[in-house]
Amino acid sequence: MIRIEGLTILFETFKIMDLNITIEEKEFHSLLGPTGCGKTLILESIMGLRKPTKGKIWIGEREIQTLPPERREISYVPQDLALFPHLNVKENIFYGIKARNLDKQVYDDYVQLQIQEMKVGHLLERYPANLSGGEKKRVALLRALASKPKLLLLDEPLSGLDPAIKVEIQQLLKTLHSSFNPTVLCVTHDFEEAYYLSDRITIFMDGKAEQVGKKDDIFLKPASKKVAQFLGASNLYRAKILSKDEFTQRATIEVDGLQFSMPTRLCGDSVEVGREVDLFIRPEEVMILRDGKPVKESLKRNICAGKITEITDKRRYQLINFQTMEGKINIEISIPNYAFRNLNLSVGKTVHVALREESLWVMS
Amino acid sequence: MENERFEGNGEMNFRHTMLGAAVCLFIFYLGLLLSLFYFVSGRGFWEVLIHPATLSAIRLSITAATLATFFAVAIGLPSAYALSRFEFPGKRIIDTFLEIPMIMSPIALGASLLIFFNTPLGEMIQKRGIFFVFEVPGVILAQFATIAGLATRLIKACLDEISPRYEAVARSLGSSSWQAFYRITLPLALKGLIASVILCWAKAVGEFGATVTLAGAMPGKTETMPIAIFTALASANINKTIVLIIILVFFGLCTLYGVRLTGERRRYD
Amino acid sequence: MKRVILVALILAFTIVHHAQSSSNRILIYAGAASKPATEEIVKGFKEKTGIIADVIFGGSGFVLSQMKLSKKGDLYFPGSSDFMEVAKKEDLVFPESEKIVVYLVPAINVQKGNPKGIHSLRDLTRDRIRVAIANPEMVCVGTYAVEIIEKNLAPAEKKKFKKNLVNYTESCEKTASVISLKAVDAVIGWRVFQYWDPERIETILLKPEAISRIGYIPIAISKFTRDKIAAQKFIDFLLSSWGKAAFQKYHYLMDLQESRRFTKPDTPVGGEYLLPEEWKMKGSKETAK
Repeated sequence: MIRIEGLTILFETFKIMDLNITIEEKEFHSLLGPTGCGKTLILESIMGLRKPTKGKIWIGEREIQTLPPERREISYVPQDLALFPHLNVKENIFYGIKARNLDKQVYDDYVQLQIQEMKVGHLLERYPANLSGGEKKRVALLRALASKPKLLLLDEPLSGLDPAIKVEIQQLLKTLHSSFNPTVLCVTHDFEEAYYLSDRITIFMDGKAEQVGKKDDIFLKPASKKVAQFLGASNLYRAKILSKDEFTQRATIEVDGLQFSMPTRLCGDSVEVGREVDLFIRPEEVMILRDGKPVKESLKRNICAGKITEITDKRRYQLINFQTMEGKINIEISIPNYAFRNLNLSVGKTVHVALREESLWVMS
Repeated sequence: MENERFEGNGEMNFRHTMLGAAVCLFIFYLGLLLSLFYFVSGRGFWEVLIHPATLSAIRLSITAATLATFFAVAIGLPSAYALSRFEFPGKRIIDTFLEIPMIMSPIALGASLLIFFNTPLGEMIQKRGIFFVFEVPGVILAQFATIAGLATRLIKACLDEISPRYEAVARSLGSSSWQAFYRITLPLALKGLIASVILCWAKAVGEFGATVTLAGAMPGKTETMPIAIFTALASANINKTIVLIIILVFFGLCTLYGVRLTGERRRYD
Repeated sequence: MKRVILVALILAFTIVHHAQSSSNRILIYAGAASKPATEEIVKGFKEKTGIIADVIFGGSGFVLSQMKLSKKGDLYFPGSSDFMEVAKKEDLVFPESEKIVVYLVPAINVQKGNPKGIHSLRDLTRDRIRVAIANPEMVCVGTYAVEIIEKNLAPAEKKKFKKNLVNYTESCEKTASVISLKAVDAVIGWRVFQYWDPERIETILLKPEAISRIGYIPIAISKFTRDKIAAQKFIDFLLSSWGKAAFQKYHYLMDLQESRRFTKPDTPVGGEYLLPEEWKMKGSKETAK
């Protein structure tokens, strides 16, 4: 297990205070945060290239923050890959093994296997200048993994790639991780990327960790409005807790005059009556009801009527802007194409929508 | 690339102007050299060339310049690395100080060195260590003083071109700072380094003012080629002057061209 | 527009041409040996005659090269006689116009205060004394120095002297300045060096019998002159009482009798001395470390 404790970096205008990250062994952990928040500084500190103002780093039982970079066994793949231009692919890959004077024979089989998995066997004699973008990424990853590092640091691995290559590399990383099980800390600003690749995510904003957890937890249950907004949440409302019933374990929440019912466990710790909170629901979790069709139990309690104000074709899904009759609340609804076709929707049409109560989330 | 030209007069004018400038410069220097031949006589040429004083001057020029360049790079390379890669207080001051030999006229530099050896510290160095004033080490010192700042500047520009990321990755893979420098940065910088060394060597060979002030103009002892040329002119021996100039230029150009050729063979394509 | 340019060009040409051939200027190539006095004389000359003398100072041989190559100049005023001999041989001056301006007597020059206690020629052969002389092949005071050494020191002493000889200076003024800069302990130079830099140079007179020759500073009209009359005027001014007074201020020796005070009565003035081969190129074998 890798522990980063109390990492504090004060550099120029950057203020990173008391950051704690825990990475389980063989975990793919993403450090997710907006661009320019100091993620590269964090990587440099973990690597040993920069001395943090404060902080301790453990790899297993070993405290490593006093070690120079070459002794930390932390590999690093920067955003621009930095493949050594004067060495060919094979020399690049084996650089770590050579530098650490590792027994080549012991590692040879392992690396050959990796080379096969990554499909770079035919590139070994080539120089980085003659590789394509995707090929370069593979070689860079291989170079980092060949000497079996304790931790692999990735800096925005998918940024700047064409969509097709992005998919290819995404899958590559996934395969890599499942085949060779390295412990990975990936730094990125792209939530989709983090969601696809990671086991757990640390959300890092304004110099501190806002939320840590499994990807679904973060996705569906952001810790605060700030996190929710970063994740691109659109259905965020200022709400008030009207009442709660200990017996039924349900709470009533009001948004601009409209009332919703939800289980209290989804309200977090701050279930005080009268408390002002932020209510959140993902666009995919709002259903447009079809006349005549039976409604599920989980949807029954939170139905409201309203008009469709806009329909946006997002190619893979349709984005509907809906406004409630009561309270004039704007709700974004995301509907897959096949469902959309069955609904016969048009702008101005009056419909009923249901908010899935299990998907309502309250943040304070 | 040259055959792909855009149509239109504007493009041709631009091309012609740029090329024209280069050609003019070449003609200017070529003209200077050719005008030397106007004055010189054939037999006198050979006499001057094989004269022991001339041979000694050539030998001294090449040896001293090579040693001076060696020392300049030996201290210039690490200095350039520090200035390129590290942040430290006083960095800008040090950087500016490197300009001193370029601002100071060579004679001023030589005179300063001479004056230094008059100070108690300078005297001690000469008594306990090496004698520089009017001795061969003085030639090397004068040349070193002239080119050291330049060497550092040139090498720094070279290193600035190489991303520090390479070293960072190398270190993460297990190389110490020294190894990363030796295995990664140095090979990548080599081409530029060679160009810098050539430039400094050429400047050292041509150095006159500081050398003559500090080491004197003793034929057979501290007379380099530029000094021999000056001496010849100061003796009103025009013929000898021209012959020596031709020898110096010829020798210098051959060496520079030769090194350039070997330097270009290394490529990382 | 074209007309304006044409007029401007003609105007410029006339001005330049006028300036060049103005009878109000003469060009003198001078050895630096007489610089302090010459500068004063030039000023006086302008006041008296209205003629401006432009002087190019430098090593005597160096300025001769410049005169030779530029084919310009009215007067050649070297620091000593042997370059005048070269100029005459190469037909660059009118030999009949040559005049002796002042006389020079060789002497030992040391650092002010004489820290090494040098009082005679023999003292220059002591251990660990650093001596310099001017390059005998190109600077007259150097040739004089060699002659003095050859004629006054025994072979063993000569060898010791050569061991102490660390440098050939390339000009007259350099011979003086190496003392000022304390680069050596002593030089064999001109007696007048002391007056060039009294704060740093001290002259130790040689014994009269040691001085084999009296030197002199000559002047002659260059064959490239465009104004022989003006050139002659300058020479006359140099030799006039005004000129002599200026030189005297700088302690130059004005006439032969004065010079003979430092030498034997029959010491020759100028003339040629054949430099022995061994002095021509200082081989590295003879340098002591």
